[in-house]
Amino acid sequence: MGREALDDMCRMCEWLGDGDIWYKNPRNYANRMYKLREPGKKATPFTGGAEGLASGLNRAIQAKADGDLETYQQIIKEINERDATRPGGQVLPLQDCIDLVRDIGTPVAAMHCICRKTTRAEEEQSINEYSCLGLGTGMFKWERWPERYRGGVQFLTPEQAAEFLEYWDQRGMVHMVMQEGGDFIGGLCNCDYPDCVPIRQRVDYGLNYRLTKGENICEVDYERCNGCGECLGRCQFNALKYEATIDKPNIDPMMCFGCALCMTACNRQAIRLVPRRQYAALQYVW
Amino acid sequence: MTSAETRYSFDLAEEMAQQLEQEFGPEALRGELQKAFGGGGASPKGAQADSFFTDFGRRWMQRTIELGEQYTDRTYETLKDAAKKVETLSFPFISQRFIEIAYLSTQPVYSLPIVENSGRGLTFRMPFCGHFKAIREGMGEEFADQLHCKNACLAACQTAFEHFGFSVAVAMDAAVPKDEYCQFSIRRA
Repeated sequence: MGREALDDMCRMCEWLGDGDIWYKNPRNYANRMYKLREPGKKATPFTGGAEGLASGLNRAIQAKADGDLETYQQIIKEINERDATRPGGQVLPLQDCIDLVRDIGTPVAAMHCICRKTTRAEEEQSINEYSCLGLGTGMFKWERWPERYRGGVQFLTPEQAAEFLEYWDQRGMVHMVMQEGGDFIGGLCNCDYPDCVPIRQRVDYGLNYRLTKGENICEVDYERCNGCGECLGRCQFNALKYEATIDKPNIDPMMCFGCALCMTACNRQAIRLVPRRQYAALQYVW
Repeated sequence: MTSAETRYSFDLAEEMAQQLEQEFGPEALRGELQKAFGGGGASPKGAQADSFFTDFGRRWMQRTIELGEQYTDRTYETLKDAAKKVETLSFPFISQRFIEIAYLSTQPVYSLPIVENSGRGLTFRMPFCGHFKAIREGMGEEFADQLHCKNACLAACQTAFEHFGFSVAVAMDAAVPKDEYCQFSIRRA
């Protein structure tokens, strides 16, 4: 595929998609089970948690709190420049998530959300509370990082994983695939603002590469919409509002992340997903 | 080191890797070739060579499975436990473990490049093959480049899946010296 054809792809699809959507490429879930270590080397320790997730942002926040906006903007710019060369996460709709766990994103294990722990000191203790899915053979080694996988993990069948995703979708959680260490997709998160660290980093601080918008945007079919308003509370990205002049909702395509939570809330199938690249004004808006 | 690591070993047992290297590594293969075909002079006929490598590959994987079960580790125990609860996890991951052991123990790589591992199947690559190098040195480039050795890898993969009750088709998607690596794909038959 030529450079021109790739221009309207997100950067992850350009790097990792082999001409298609990167998170639909089985190669991006592939991972070894073992690694021989060079003498004296040990397994990488867990470096996540509050510090790992914030990575550099703390300094920016402090600068802003001190009223030093110039330093704040400079740090944000530096983080964005650094992130531009690394993969990150991407928003995706429920159906794509279900397709992944039914086909290429195996094994799948339910686990606690590191974001909620980081931002609210809230620990999800059991399968009934877990909201994240870990993917790939790394899950067979979860006990190696007990501080990351507190409470353990529960391996799921593809059907259980689909039900898990549907449950959190109904509860209004945004679905995101997350790259692990730049090598493979290791997580399928279900999270919301303000708990979700990547959503906050993107929405509150403009760290745009931490979370890329989805492949699609949502559009209202005004013939079908009856203005019931069921969708209004679902948007985490300020893209959806009530349009008083027509008594129906309106979706700002520039703001829409394509999570499709508004769509799955609509009983009249009056919201549909449309490929971002279908619109010239949106094809570079990631 | 985490507390879990003091209790469990998640890595491959060094003793097992050494044993496999000794029995099926490049030097062992060179010795077996010498014994079977004398080396150097007239090359063995195609069918003879294919059969030699098929047998070598099968024995290599059978021994890997034997030792791999004997020298278990926490990663494997977790995998087996998960597969008991979620049957679909057996394929391809249990066989992948033994394929990784076989190659890591006998090849000059720190990890096996996995191209795909999902319910669809397993695909992996082998760059810098030590066996291929040994064949070239022992039997000459012409013989090595005929790639009779692919039968060893095909048979090893077949054995790794059949042993656990999976009927599979194994294909070679890329091969040295034309490509920079050999690539094998295993799909359910």
